[in-house]
Amino acid sequence: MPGQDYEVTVHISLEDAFRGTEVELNLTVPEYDKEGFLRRVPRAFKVRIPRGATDGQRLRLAGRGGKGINGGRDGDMYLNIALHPHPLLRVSGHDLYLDLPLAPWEAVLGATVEVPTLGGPVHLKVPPDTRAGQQLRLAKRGLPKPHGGEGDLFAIAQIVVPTATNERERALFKQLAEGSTFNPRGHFQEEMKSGSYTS
Amino acid sequence: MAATPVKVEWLTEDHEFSLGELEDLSGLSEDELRELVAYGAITPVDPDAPQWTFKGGCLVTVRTACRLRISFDLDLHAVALVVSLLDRIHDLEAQLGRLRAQLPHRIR
Repeated sequence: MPGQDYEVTVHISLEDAFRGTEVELNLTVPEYDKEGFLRRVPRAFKVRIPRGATDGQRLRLAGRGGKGINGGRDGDMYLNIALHPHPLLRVSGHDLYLDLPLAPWEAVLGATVEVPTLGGPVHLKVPPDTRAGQQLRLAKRGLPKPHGGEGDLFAIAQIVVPTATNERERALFKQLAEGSTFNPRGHFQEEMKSGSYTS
Repeated sequence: MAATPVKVEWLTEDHEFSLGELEDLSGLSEDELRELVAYGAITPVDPDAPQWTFKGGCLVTVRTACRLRISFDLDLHAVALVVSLLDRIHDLEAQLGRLRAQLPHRIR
């Protein structure tokens, strides 16, 4: 009879998933002793989780489950990878997402900004006229994939207004307000009139 | 107790198992696995191929099927329905997680 399979959820950080890591698992598992009685036995495993793990990934450790009986093969151990939430980076498969706060002038004029990645900070060129919600792709800056290649990192532009402004800054904004014809709500009147959405 | 180093195998979509391997690893017989295919609970990579292979995720499905059959004494038809629903829940949760990752958080 084959040995029992074990299933364990392993929590690792995003940095561990990026680099690969070694975890020590201490389990108490049921095993038959020499007299044939079922006992719970402590077992320790040091497991190398290679680069390429992402949230929900499953790994199989062949033969690392319960002992087979009467010549049966040993069972397997199955690991379910769970990633700890990261304060900045969100995981989607092997892609990562990051909110990128931009000052209004940076979004309009463009800017080069420093962006954190798991491999260290990089400079990202924000193009002029970047809109809120626009995704700026940093190719191959996501999580490595198990069999080669990497996911991407997407920086999502967030236009952020200063929470406190001095007199000069307010004067400049007032000047911009008076000189600009931009109306972000220009479509409201037309959309409310048209009724075309019902056809 | 001394820790023993072990080798890991990814259960990803680009890893494939033969029908025989699934039979060895799942606890289900070949006939039962073929029945699960007929019910749509698992799908071979190429149903027309003379030797079926299955993607890595199928191992999880068939192990779950075996546990359900043993724990709840369900027939294979019922097992196929349950694992299909569980797989659908898993896919939807994964999709939801991916979509939520793409939504911007509130700026503090």
